[in-house]
Amino acid sequence: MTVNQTQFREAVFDASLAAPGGLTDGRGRAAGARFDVYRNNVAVGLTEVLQTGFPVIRKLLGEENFAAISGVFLRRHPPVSPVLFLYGEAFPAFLRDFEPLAHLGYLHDVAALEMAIRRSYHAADATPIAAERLADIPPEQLGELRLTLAPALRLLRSPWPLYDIWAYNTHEGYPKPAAKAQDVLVTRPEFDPEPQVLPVGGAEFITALQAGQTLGAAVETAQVQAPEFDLSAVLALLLSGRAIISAEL
Amino acid sequence: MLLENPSSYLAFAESTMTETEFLSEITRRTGCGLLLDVNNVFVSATNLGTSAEAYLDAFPLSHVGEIHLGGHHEDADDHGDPLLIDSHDHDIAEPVWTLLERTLAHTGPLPVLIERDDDIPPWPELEREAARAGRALSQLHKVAAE
Repeated sequence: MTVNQTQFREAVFDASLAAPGGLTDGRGRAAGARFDVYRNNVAVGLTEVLQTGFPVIRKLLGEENFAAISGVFLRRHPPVSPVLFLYGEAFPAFLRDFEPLAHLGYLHDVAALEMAIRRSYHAADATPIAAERLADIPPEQLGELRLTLAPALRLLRSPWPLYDIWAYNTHEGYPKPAAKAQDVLVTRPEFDPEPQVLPVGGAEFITALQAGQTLGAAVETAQVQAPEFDLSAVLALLLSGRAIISAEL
Repeated sequence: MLLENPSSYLAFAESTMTETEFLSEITRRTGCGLLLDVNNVFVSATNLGTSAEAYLDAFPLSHVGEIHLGGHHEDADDHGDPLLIDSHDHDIAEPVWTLLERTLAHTGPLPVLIERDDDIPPWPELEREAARAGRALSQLHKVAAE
């Protein structure tokens, strides 16, 4: 009797299935409960990835709920990549659509922020431009500048006080979040990703830059959405986050 | 890259190749090195009713670039036979030390790493294990010098 990889994988994730045939104890007897070691290793391993990757979600749900929800998630969403640091991409959407959690509307965005922080951490290195680089451009040409942003940069838009929820559950003594929408910028100035609140219009501006618009066009795009858009404040965030890696005319 | 031998808890009835044959073939075809986890050798041999010594005799030791040691948890299978789990949460078992010395006698000195992820004891206990691995290595230098 043979066992194929699909059967093996399905049985690893579904304890209600019998251990596949063709597996033995090395002495000719059926493997039986020995298969549970693999089930346990996989479940524990993936749960630990989620615990490590989503500390704020873990805090918000509580240890016991988080473990139970992780168990449901990992069975519905087994890894699709052998690279474990990518595991959990589907977790934000799962939390949004998981009926028992429907009353906690912000979980999706918080999980998306935690995933963005992890992706930022693992993103490729890139050398940032020096702040003087922008000062060297003749003012009349600034509008034509095209900025390239660092691979570690992430942008999240939320109708919830996303940054405040994250910070309240991450930094001791941070004030309790009040209801408001927040856009969050994640940069990686040194080795660790740093989330920050983006001022109004900042998200439109950065999205426009990412789409390849010139600096001038991106400012106009931002001003359409937010007349009070403050270019220097957002540029300062990008520069201090070492998130601009080229500025070309 | 060093590829590590696994801890096994079951066997595939249809298998036509031993693990050591498989690992030898991989090193031959890819040029990669091997990481020999001596605790895994003991765990697999106990779990599958095979000989750890015979496994090591068949292992392509010349490709080993690093050795791992670790502790395992003792459980039992459906028939009450020992089922060892590679849990990294115990002291290194005595037979595993014997397998280490046996391996080093064939390979000569190699980097040895002790894996301990859970139920971490006070530092002096860990240090004792590290020192014992160190003695197993320095013993080789002495033998070589004589």
